[in-house]
Amino acid sequence: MQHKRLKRFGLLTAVLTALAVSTACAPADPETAQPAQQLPAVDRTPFKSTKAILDEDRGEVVLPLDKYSYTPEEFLLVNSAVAYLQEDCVKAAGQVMPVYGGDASVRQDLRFGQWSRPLAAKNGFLVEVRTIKGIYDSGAKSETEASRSALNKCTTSVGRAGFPDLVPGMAGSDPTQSKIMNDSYALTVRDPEFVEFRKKWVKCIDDKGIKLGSQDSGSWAPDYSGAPKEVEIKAALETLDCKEQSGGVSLPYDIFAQYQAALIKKHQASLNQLAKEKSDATTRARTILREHGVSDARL
Amino acid sequence: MKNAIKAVAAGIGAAALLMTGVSASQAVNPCPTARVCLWTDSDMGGTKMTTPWATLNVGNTMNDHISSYLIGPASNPASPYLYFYEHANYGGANFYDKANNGWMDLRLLNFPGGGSWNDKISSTWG
Repeated sequence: MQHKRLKRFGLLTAVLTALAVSTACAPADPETAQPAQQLPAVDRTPFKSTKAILDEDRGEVVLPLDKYSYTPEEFLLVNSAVAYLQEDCVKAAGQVMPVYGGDASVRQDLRFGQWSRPLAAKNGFLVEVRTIKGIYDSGAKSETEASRSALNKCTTSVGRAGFPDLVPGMAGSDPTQSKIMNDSYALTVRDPEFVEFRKKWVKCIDDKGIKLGSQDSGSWAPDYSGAPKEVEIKAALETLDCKEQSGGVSLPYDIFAQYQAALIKKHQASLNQLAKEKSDATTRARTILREHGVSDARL
Repeated sequence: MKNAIKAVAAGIGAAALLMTGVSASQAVNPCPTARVCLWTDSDMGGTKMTTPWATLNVGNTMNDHISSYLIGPASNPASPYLYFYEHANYGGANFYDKANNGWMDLRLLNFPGGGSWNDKISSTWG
């Protein structure tokens, strides 16, 4: 705890002064770095029937853990409710809202590289982004320093307004949900079937003359920046052919899903609590939005 | 929070008031709105790069060399989180953090399965 406080003060100092913090606050000794984590022993064999759901047209992947996380649409509801509460705070301070608002963007999952044939044919290796129409928009076309400052202060004071962060993977946060996400990923990339898949895939694309970036070992995306788009698209489709030949495009996600399913079973009780928190959070968000004049059609 | 070294805006305001006499309103996030500031050393040291939230490749100087970061304020309330990825083009393992947060020593942020996120980030999205 003492170390944490020192570190936080170090950051505060840095933020306030825009200078580097004293090295006395930093862990100069490498021994303070985190030790290797112990991964749980998990047998995914009983969960072989569990498969990831891949939507090739939308670029979306549904995994077992998603049941306990906000969907993109639910996340937008919660974020929009928070924005209205921030606006209330700004108005209470006697200010008008600055420019603030916009649509939500949902990014294709590319943790194992491109996997969608229609999207590879359109985007090559690049990510597909789906847009969800935003709910909150301040409507401001210009802003003053005072209004921006008021929003920054209100962002701080409102915080997440008590809404739980039901998106796994927040830095430094280690609740069950994030732990399952991280452990299932780590187990996947160490799984012999996955390792064999990747080995075959790398050889296959290499045989086709497609090279992965040498600076980023383990990457799934060859660097085609600057190349004509049709060249990138041809290569992206060839990497998908190689995935098919190496065990199937969906294989990495299926292994990932199976580890998630196994870990979910071990932590079902706490995850059931998260499911309730999610339901309560989205209900509360809808209430706040209605109170701020958002029509039911948007909810 | 485990090993959290967070620059949550609330923390900046409250602690600053206690420790420096500077109020939250005076505490300004030095990283601009809709940008993330990246450093090659811990505690915002070494080479600095300021980049948009969505950056599919942080570039040769920063790739696999990032040791600390600070996230600027969000411009869009619909997207309050910034994601960090192990590989370029949003590949590999990932984690996210909130606007106005920072991490001053990525050696203290666990990488899935072992080790830390120090010198591992290659792309960001938000």
